Amino acid sequence: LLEKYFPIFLIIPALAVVFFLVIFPLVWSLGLSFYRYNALRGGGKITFLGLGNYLRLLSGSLVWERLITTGEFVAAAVCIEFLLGLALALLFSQQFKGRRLAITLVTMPMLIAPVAAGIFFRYVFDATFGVVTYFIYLVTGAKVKLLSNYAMLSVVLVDVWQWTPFMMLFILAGLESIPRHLLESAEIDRFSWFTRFKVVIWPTIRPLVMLALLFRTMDAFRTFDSVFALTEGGPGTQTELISITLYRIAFQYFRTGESCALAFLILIIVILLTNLYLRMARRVT
Amino acid sequence: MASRRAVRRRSVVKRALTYVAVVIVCVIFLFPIFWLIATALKTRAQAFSFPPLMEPHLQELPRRLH
Repeated sequence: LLEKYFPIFLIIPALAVVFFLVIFPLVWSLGLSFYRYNALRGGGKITFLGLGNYLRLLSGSLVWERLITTGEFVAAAVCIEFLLGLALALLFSQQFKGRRLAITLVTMPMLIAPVAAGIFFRYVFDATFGVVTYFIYLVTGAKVKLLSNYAMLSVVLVDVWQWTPFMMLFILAGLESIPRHLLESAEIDRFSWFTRFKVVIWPTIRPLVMLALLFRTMDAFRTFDSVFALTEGGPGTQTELISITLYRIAFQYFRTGESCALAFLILIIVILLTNLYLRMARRVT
Repeated sequence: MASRRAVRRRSVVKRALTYVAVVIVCVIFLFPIFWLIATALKTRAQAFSFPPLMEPHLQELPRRLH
């Protein structure tokens, strides 16, 4: 009997960790999202609302506006990162001396914590003594207030600076897995650069590109720390992403039930996006 | 023969362009990190000066490390 149940005893600790750290909070917050509940007031009055929280969020204009802001941010950041990453990967797939070193140097921004990057770029973009402001002043002769007049642009720039190397690494891995004989025969057939890209390179790197786009889209959708450290969603609500709204509802207004509902709405959106990408990736292969 | 030389010259130009592009990319991506370290070594007055100091005045560093 002991021998039969011994394996079960062995997996109990791991299961317990997963249950208490993942499944239990998930189910608990799903439950909370159906109640009017304020974590600050503790055991005050907790009323059951059913789908009331969801309906209130979806019928108000707040969430939709924030979703549009988030969509702009995600679209701009991911598109620029993809194009830049592809260009960099094509550049770094060439053989030259110091290639390893250059790749290591370019991937360094990924190693910086997003909060630190946000706080630091706040100093770099500062309107009176930031370096970037100074460079723009040298080139154009105008003092640009990056964080107040071009807030969305600067937020996107920080994200691009930090995560383009990630995109580049993925595409580079794809480029290096292209069979050599395909490239050689393309060269013998004297394909133009564009044809070679379309027929040989793109089909091979496509699955990896899709995966990288999926990761970046999900990540950009959940971005909180760098944007919050950089602008705190301001000026006004110009760069207030959905995650910052979630933070405000949960920890500044302490409408805990409503914030749980919003969290699940975001989860649903991310799952839909993921399925869309996976379907697009599967269609060709 | 002439065409082979042209091909070789083209490859030299291509290699030079690759190096230039790599250096530009590295400078752009590393500038904020350089600035991060440079700012860490500045005094408060130097960090907030305008126009920004490109290099910290290191003779004040030993004093700051105390």
